[in-house]
Amino acid sequence: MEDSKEPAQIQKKEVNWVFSLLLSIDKAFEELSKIMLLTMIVIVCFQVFARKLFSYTPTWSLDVTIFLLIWFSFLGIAMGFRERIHLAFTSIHFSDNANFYIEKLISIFEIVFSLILIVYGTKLTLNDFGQIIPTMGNLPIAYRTLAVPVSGVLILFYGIFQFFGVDLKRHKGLGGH
Amino acid sequence: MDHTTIEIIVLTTTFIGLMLIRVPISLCIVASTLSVFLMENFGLELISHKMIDGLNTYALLTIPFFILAGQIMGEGGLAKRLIRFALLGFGRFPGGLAMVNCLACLLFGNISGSASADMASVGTVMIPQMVKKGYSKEFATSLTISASVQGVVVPPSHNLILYALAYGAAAPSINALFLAGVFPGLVICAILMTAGALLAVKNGYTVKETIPKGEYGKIIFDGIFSIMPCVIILGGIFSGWFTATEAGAIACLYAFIITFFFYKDIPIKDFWPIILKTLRICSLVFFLMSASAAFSYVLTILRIPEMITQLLLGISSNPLILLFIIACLLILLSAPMDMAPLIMIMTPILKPVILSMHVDPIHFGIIMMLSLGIGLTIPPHGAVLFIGCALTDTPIGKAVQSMLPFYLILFICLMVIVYIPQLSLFLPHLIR
Repeated sequence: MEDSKEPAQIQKKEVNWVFSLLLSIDKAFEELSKIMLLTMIVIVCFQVFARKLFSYTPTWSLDVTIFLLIWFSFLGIAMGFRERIHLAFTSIHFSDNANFYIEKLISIFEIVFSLILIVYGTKLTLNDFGQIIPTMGNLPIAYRTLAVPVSGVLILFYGIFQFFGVDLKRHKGLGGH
Repeated sequence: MDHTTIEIIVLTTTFIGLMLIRVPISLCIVASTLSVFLMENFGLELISHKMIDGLNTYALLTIPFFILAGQIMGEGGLAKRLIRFALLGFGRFPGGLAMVNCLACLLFGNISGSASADMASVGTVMIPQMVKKGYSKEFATSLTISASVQGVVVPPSHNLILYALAYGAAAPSINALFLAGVFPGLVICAILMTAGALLAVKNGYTVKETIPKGEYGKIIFDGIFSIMPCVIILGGIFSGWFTATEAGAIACLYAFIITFFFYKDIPIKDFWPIILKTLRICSLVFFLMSASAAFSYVLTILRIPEMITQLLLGISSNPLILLFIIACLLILLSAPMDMAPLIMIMTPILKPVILSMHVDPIHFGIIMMLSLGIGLTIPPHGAVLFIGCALTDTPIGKAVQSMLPFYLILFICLMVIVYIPQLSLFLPHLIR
C-alpha cells in the first residue's frame, strides 16, 4: 500500500466516531504544521523584500515567526512519535521475544514523557499569562507555551495506541528506524 | 563517593542503558536529564522551560528552510543537471566519470547541505552511468559514498547550524561557519577528484564520455540556474544583504519558482509531499534541539565539560596532538551513533577544551563536521554507507572492502583540514 490516508489497521476495524474524530484532529494538526512552515517562509521573504525595496522592517515579523516556529517544532516532535522516526541506536539486534517487551517499554517511556509535557507544560503555560508579546497585539506568551502541553497530549495519544500495538503511521516510506 | 559523582554515574547509565534498548536518543537525553533533575530536587517545569528555550532561536529557522529548498531542488531533477554540468568539464579525461561524480556531489551538497541526500540523489543517477561505462559497481558505490561526505562540510550544511546552536554562548555566527566550509569543501573535492581519477585509471576504467557540442548551451544554462541557491546564500551573506536565515527563505522561494515553473520535471502537486519530508527531518532535529538544551544545562551544573578538559589536557597540552585525538575520537563515536545527536552532545563537552587550546571555534566546527561525516561511511551505523549499499544492492562487507583506499583518502582530507586552519578561517576573517 502506498501513502495511505488513514492508518491501515484501523481501516479494517469497525471505526467508531470518537476514534475518527481523534484521527481527524491529528490530521488537522499535521496539515497545520505544513501551513505554518509555508507561512514562516513567506514572512521571512516578505521581511527581506520589504527591507530591501521599501526600507521598511516589520516589527512583528520576528515574533510571529518565533511563535510559529515553537508551534511547528512541538507539533513536529509529536508527529515524529507517531511515525516513529526519532533517531534511535539500532546497531544491536534482539530476539523477537525481547523486541516485544522492548517496544512496550519504549511506549511506557513515551507515555511518561508525554505526561511530563502535559503536567509541567500546563503549569508553565498558566504562569506565562502574565507576560505579553507587545508586537503581536499584546498576546500573552502563554499561547506560545501552550504548544508544549498540546504536543504532550498528542504524544500521549500515540503512546497509548503504540503500547497496545496499534500502528498509527500515516505515511509509508517516510523512512526512520 | 560524593553527590556529583553519583549524579554523573546515574546520568551516563540512564543515557547509555536506554539507548541500548532502542529508546529514541532524544528521549534518552530527556530521561537522563530528568534523573539528575530529580536528584537535585529541581522543579520539573524547568525541563519544559529549557525545551522551549532550546527552540526559541530565530537561527533555528534556517534548518527547515534549507532542508525544504534542498528537497525541492533535489526532487526536481537537480542531480541530473549537475551531473551533466560536471560531465561537460571533466567527462573528457580518462577516469573522468570518477571526477564528475566527486564534483557533482560537491555541487549537490552545496544545495542540499546533507550527505545522505547527496548519496541518494547523485548515486541514483551516477552509479548506473558509471557501471554502464565499465566501472565496477563497488568502485562506483564507494566513490560516491566518500564524495557525499562533502555535503556535511559545505554550506548550507544543516549540521553546521546545529553546531552553532549547540555551541551556546559566544557561538560563531552561522554566516561565518557557512563561509568557513567553502575552501575545505573545495580542497576535499580536489583531493577526492585526483585520487578518484588515479584509482579509476589504475583499475583500467578509462572510458571517456563527451557531450555533443550542440548541447553545451543548454547544459551550462541549466547548471548555472541549478547552483543559483548556493550563489544566493553565499553572495547574500558575503555582501551583507541578508542573514543565513533570510537566505534560506529566499532559496526556498527560488527553488519553488525554478522547479515548478521553469524546469517542470515534477508537477506542482508534488509540493505537498516534499513539505512532508521536510517536516519529517525537522521533527527529529527539533526534538534533539529541545532535549539537548536541557541536557547541556545538566552537563554544566555537573561540570562534566571541565572534567573532560582536564582529562584531555592531561594527555597532552599540544593542540596539534589533541586535535588529532579529538578528531579520531569523533570518528570512533560516530561509527555507532548518528551525527546530529553527537553534535548536540559533544559540542558543549568539547567547547572548554578547544577554548583552552585557543583553537578557533569556526575551525573546530569544520573539523567536527568532517570527522563525523567520515563516521557516516563507517559500519555499523554509517547512514551514507547504508544508503549507498541499498541503492546498488552491494553487501556491506564488500562495500567496506572497496572503501578501504577511500577511508585513507578521507582521513588525509581530514588531516589537511585539521592542520591548515587558514583554509577554514580565511573567508570568515575576511568579512569581519
